[in-house]
Amino acid sequence: MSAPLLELRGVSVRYPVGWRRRLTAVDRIDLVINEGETLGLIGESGSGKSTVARAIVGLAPVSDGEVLWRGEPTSGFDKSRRREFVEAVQMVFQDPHSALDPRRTILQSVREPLDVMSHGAKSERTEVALKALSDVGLPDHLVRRYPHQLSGGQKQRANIARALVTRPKVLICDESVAALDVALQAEILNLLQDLKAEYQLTIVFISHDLSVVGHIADRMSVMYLGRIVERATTESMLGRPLHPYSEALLSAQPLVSGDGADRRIILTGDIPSPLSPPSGCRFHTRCPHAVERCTAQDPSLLEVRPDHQSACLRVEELYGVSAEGSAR
Amino acid sequence: MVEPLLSVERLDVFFGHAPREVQALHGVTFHVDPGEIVGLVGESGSGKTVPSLALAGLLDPRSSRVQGTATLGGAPLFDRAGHHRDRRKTPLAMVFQEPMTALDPVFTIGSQLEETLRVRQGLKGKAAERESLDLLGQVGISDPRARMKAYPHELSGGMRQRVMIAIALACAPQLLIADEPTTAVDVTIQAQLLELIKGLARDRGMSVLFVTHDLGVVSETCTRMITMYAGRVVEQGPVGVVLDEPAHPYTAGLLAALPSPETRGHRLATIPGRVPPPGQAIEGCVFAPRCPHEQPVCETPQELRRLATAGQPHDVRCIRSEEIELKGARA
Repeated sequence: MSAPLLELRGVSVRYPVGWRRRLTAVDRIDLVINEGETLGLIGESGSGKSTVARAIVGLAPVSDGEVLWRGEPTSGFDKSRRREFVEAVQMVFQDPHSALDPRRTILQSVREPLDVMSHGAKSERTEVALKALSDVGLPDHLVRRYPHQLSGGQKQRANIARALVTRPKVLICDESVAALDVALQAEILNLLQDLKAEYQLTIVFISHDLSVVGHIADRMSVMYLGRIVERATTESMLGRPLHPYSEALLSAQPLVSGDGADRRIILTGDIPSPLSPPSGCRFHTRCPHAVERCTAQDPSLLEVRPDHQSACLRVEELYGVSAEGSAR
Repeated sequence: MVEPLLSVERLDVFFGHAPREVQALHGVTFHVDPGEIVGLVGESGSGKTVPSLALAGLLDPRSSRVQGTATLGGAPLFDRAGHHRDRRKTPLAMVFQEPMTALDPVFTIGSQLEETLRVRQGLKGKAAERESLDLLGQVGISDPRARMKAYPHELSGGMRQRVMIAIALACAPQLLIADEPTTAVDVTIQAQLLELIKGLARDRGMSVLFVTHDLGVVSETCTRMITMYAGRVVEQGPVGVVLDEPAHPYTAGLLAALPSPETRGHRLATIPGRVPPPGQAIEGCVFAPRCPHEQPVCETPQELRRLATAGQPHDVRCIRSEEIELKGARA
């Protein structure tokens, strides 16, 4: 079997805060991204999902572990391999407005990655940028305008075009539709599906909105306080979540069919501070099923069903599935 | 028949000055019954926030003009010139989307609560403190005595929104206007806040006007809903009826655009085009340029009319609603 396109092996991201204190935003996570799939990453704010994205593209310092590109650690890349990797993994951010330079036209902003990489002549670069802009459905007459002259949806299209000009293999969308209205959100989600087919993209889709991730992702990982607590195919996860946190998160989603209210599990309190994460299972302070040993023992992510992993000590008692090779 | 708590009749709101004045609301008419939670929905730019601002007296009279009538508990909110009578005496309170910008960063939670109690209820000193502690308890803040001394930045987003609700309750409101109160928070916190608002409405017999773009939230929180488009009410009726059998193509379009696990692998339905900017002259039906069911009959202006169905009133601003098939939430 060939190596996956992108892999995170025991990656931690720590930030120094104050005197000899460190904040662990992402704690020893493993993540595999296969070529051609759409991976959803969900969790509340503060769960570390954006930090994972930033660690992949090198915007956040990786304190421990390795990011592997086609099986090779990116930390060992020389200048030319590094450049290749940077071109292959592009990111689309949440707020379409602040992601664009207000003093540059849309075309200039979209062409910028190519200018930085000094690819070909300027006319060729303009050509590529225009092609990307037309692929994302931005009308010609808008490309020489400035960001403030465009609507939110148009700006997000421009952001996507900018991510596409280097012909990336992986597109990381960090809450890319969260700031948009339903009708616009639907347009951008459709666009991403089209582009995925056209550019043969692998997409990492980060969102707090389960219905959006459920719509677009093939597999999903649920994060809580810097850890992945559950990982499964979308069907398996939405069909039957096997971790109390995923279960609560799924049930918290308001549904138009109106039958969400009866099975709702309301979590008390907020996500704890990553500066002082709880002992044992990090979710025990809010978990409705927490018992004594949850405060002491740190669960690891174990296979509980084919293609379905959960990090819960009580998975057998609560869901009637046993963790294989329970060598904790 | 119950007397409505809030009744808004043909409310027009204009911004700017002649000759460049634009009309943001066009004859908006709706009511809220005592103890009822009503959802006001629409995209950004549909004008769903303007009625709330007008009712709360938050529109600047120097740059806006209000026409029409609104009464709260029988008392008119506007005088004949369209000026708000006195927003500090109206039993109405508002909760905004961003609790961090709505709270003052340089005062403690306690002083902001006590200020509201002093202005709205004339409470001072010990009485105000007691009442503040009680209100913080009511909105589910643990250890209220310690939180009274906290500054807004020391609280999490969910806690800040709870404080906002406590401050709103300090106005002893009969009507709470909640403008996208859960948009800035996580789903788990959203679930907590919705539960809180529903509980407060039930326990205090308070009415809530819930402004949101999230139809899921409306479905689970409200009893009636009003869809707004281009500054006009285009549909209103009981939530169950409107979401299951929408009568206006715009409501149906918003429903069809929602992603869900069932839509995986399919394209989502979109509403082509944009909400027309206020001030743009529109002949005929306002939604016709974006409507998939548009016909020559749609060139005539549409009035809100009552559908001939049993049960609670269901109004729609569409001439073809009986002829066309629209998909609802459960279809």
